[in-house]
Amino acid sequence: MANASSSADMLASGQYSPERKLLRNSKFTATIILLVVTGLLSLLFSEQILTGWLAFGERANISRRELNLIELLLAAGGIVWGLLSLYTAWGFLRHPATPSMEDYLGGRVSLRSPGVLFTTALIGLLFAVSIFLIEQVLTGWLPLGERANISRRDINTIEWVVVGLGVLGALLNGRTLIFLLRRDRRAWAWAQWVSLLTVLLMMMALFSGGIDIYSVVPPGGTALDNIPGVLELVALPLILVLSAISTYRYLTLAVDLSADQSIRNRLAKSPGAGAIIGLAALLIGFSLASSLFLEPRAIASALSTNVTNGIVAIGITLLMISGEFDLSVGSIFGASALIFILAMTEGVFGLPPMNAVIAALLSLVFAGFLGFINGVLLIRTGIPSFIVTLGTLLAYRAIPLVLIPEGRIIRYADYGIPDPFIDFSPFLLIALLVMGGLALAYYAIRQLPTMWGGVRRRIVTYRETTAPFRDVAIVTSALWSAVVTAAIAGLALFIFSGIADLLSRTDEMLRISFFDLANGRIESLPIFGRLTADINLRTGVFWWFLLVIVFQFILTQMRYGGFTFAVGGNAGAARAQGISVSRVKITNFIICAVLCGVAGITFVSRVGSVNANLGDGLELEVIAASVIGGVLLTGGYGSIVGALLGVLIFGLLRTGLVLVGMDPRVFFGVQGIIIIVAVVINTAVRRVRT
Amino acid sequence: MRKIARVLAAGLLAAGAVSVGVGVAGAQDDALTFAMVSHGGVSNPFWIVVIKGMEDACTLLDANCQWLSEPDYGLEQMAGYWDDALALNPAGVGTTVPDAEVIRSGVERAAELDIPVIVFNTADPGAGTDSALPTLFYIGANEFTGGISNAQRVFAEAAAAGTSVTRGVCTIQEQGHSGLEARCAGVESVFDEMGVPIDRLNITNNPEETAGILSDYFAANADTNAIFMLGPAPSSGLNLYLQESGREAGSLFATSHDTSAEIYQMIQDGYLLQTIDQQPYLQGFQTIMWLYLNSQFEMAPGGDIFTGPGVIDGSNVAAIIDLTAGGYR
Repeated sequence: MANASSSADMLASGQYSPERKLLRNSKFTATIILLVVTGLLSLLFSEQILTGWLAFGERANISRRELNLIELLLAAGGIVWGLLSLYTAWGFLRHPATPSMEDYLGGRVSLRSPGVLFTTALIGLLFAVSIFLIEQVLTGWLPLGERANISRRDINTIEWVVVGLGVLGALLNGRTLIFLLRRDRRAWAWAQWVSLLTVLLMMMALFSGGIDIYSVVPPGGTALDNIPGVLELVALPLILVLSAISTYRYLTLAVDLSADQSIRNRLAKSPGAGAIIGLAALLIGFSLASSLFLEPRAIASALSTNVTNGIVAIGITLLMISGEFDLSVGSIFGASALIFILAMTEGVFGLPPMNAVIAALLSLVFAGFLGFINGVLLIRTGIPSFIVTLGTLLAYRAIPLVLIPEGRIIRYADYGIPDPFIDFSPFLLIALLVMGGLALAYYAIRQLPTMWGGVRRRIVTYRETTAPFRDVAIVTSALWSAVVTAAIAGLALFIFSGIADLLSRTDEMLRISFFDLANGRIESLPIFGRLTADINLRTGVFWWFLLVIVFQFILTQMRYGGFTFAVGGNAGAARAQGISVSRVKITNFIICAVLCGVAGITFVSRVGSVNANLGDGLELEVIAASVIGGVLLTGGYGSIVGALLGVLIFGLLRTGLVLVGMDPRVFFGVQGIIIIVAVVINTAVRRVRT
Repeated sequence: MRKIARVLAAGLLAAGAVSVGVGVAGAQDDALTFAMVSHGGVSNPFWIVVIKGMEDACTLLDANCQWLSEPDYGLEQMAGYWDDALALNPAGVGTTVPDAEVIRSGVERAAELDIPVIVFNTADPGAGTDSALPTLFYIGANEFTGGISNAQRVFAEAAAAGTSVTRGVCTIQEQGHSGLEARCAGVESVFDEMGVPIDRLNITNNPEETAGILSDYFAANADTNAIFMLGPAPSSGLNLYLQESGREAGSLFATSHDTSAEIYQMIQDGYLLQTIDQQPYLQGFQTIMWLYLNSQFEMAPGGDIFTGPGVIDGSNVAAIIDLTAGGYR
């Protein structure tokens, strides 16, 4: 900022400050290329409309002799936008040093200078699009949600949400536009935010259009054989994405550090920020692409299918935060699932067949022992955990290969034993509920005053703060506090009603199958009522979420969590603080392995069979999920909630790809690309830390 | 009881190995010697049945036979086992051909020595071309016709039930596996002929994941009423999906490949119409028998011998279960 005051002199004298040299580096060349591509794409888009290849509006107009109003508007817009992009690119090329936003806001250049004009035009365009969107939905031209709603008399919930978002977009862009025109300094940060949001939103639209591309490609041909079809799906979002990226890059030139950092700081606060963005992108993209996606059936199925991955991912995340890997999780999962089922049916370690609860405990102890071996091998030998657990990955796999004769599939049903029922007193449940209630009360007393106090402080100090987003901050923090409060109130209500219900029938013993308890189908939920037969939600999902909450609490609120971060972030410093690095690492290996055991129990409870290769390849899936969820491979950074989001992204991705009927040959390819994109977003928002 | 059986089996194997060793040492008697070289061995239940077929044939012929392979799986090692096979001075050699080049030198030396060679289980990919190995013929299953058999059964059952197949799906658990792709290709050839659409679907060997994928697939494609599974683990996933979704046994025409206790039960419960068995016992037994007939009497069949598709369905599943216990299936 110190240079800013002297910029005008330099401009006058033809000198370039070091700051201004930035404009000619490789980053800037990329921006110019982006702009040229945007321009050419826009012109191609208009050309296709004008020649009648690409139809919009009333489709009945087959003859294509005349263009309708929407097409004329789009074609004209495309031409203007294409020329503007090319003009801006040319402007950047022509000037050895392009005036930055700083120069404009400081009043040294006019609105006509290349980057400034493009930024202003983009914000104006977004404002117009928002208004157009609202108008189209309200007049019923753009039906959303249930397509059957032909009469268009009323507007459904989804449409109201879209209208709401449209109003928000119009306000945001309109306000930014006014700031820009008035040369208000706040415009800089606002424009950055707007272009970032546009990139993300349009990426989602691009994604939902992109996964449909193969449906317009003629058989045996390529995307080039049906350019209008492909353009119709992706051109508009692609043009907006490229424009917004160019704008964002332009705005980070001659950086106003306060604006750039405030965005990144905000995003970097949470390790799961990238995952949240990715999950939102998937949810929006797939629900645009398939009406079956955002349905209770699909969500329940995705959750139930990913209980195993989800529980194992908790452990591996904890371990990775403390700086170590465990590649043997798949083998531990398979081996402990086998021990569990054998303990109930044939007996293991020379013991007779036993009660399911004892069998479960035995398999957990066994899993913990395997994890203990991993940890001790690591500490005693000093070999990297990648190698140690690669070895145990193979070694532990021998357990099922030896114990299962001739590669059979061990099935509980083959032994003709009835399901393991357990009886317990209602007082046990009441005690559990009371404990849950106490934990909830503790959390509420600890957190709620802080949260609402924060909101109050923001309101009181509103006039003194200079942050560019003070009003947004008040609204979001108040909303978030309200959501948390409501959730706590709902849980408290659930606990009270549960206790009241149980107290009314204390004289009977409760009887439940162990399998149903661990991972049975949930038939009704407190608020949603009875679940229809096609909704397959399992109790395992409940245990998974409970474990996420417990371990997130341990990680963020308890001393042990702090030790874990310290050990992973800087083992030497942790040791100097008196933390036993080895003990923390071994404990985390054991926790990770025990959680694999828990996953094994839920798996057997649902599927009822174990084969020798169970869990093969699990390790890569859960490590990928953790990394998507924001864990650093180097340790010291991450969150359990992030791991939950990572697993959800993985699971919903597969569900979504099946629902849209993705060609199986490109299935893995799409999965891989999306994982990389998710991690790239993560790294981008985290860059400010390093 | 099972433990005793296991100990007995291990003992028998050891005894067999010792007696074969003794037999090789004293190979100067009149008995013929045959060798079988393979890419898979005793740790896989499939190969145990093939080996039993070989041993039964050799007992009948009073011949010395040796199975040469890694215990689990080994492709490159086959070249070494071929050297061992020729060192036995055999009357004939059976071999699998997962990779022709690995064993080419051995097979060509056998041809120079006038030792007959029969390919079993895995056919020579270059058969019928200039690069074909100098072997007699192939004894094994045809995956493509297995797929055809399953698809034809589905259409026949649908016609018998008075409905029609509206859409099919072939699930594949290991993409790019040539045997599995051939099974799906067989199914698809029938569907293309009938003009009925058929999808392919990626699943996994994990029944829980497979059940989730199937649930999603059927939500998006409610008109699909025929499904083709390619193995025991995928069928396990189908079973889980059917149990949890509560679908009626007759609402989905389903078939599988290969065998397992769960597949037999699904056939008995009416969830599977049939499963394709490649009859591994025949691959061991017939290879020895034809090596004997060819080496002694210069006999040969008119072409390749297919041991599959053998069909297991409701009509023979009970008998098959007994035979499985006996080690023949």
